[in-house]
Amino acid sequence: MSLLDFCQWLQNESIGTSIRESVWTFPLIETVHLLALAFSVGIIVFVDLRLIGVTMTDQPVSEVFGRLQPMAVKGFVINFLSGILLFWSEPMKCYNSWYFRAKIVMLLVLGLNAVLFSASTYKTVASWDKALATPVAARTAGWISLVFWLGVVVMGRAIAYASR
Amino acid sequence: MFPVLLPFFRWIDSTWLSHEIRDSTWQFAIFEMIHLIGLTMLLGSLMVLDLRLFGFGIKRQRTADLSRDLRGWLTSGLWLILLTGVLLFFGEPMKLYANASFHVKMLLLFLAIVFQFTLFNRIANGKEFSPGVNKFAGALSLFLWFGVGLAGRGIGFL
Repeated sequence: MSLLDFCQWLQNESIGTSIRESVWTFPLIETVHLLALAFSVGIIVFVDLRLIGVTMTDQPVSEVFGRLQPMAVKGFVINFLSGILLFWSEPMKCYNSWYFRAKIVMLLVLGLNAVLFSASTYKTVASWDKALATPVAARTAGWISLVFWLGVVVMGRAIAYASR
Repeated sequence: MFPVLLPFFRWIDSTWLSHEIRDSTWQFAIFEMIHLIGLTMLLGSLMVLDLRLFGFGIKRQRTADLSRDLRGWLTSGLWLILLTGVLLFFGEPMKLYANASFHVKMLLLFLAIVFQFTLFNRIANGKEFSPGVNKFAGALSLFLWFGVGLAGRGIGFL
């Protein structure tokens, strides 16, 4: 079964159809999806800004990362689950949308960036925890995360505008 | 709903800027995207600060210091939102005049800004407030700003 077949099947499946056809369900899920932005992207932006070295610089990186990352992950779970439901309700629109495709690619890059950062750069945090100038690798990870997360927000909004 | 304001909305509707935004296919969309980025900055910095007021998040730092660190980001986010918000308002004034969700949003926005720059700042920047007061400030600020976001999303659904 190809991706297209899967999306076509999902399009006609009953749960997605009921979300799409209900007056309140889709707006409700979308509102949750939007407000969870503050918990996920909003918080992660400030972790990124600390990694880049432009805010909360009097706090160790491990304090900012260690305390805020778990909150951001919890927010992301809400975003992910509500996102699945939104996709479920309009898989064909998403399939045909370049904005949606770009969003998914950006999310994959962000996942990879986060995994690589945690598995390598962050392992040595003890040696630069309080440094004003964080290592290039940490700043790069911060910039990638910042730019791509804001890209995800922009692409997410664009999906609703057009499906080209 | 507010007939006294109708001439003002009509005047906005007749301006060059309003026509410019309405006649363009991409301007409104771009402004809305920047509006969302501003929202991310404002609500994000607010979340970090409110979590601290609740006793979570960056606990090592005193609330007043954290507030000082984040204030610039919070106000920049707010300016970005207000500026793009005004442009979006110019893009569809007559729709907004009749939109109940927009009325609620403006009321909450007014309350949120007043609270944020008076009581909230006093509490976040002070030293001798009890945990109860801190939690109250955090909860009210989340309620008001998320209410603004909720009502904002509602505009498009009505």
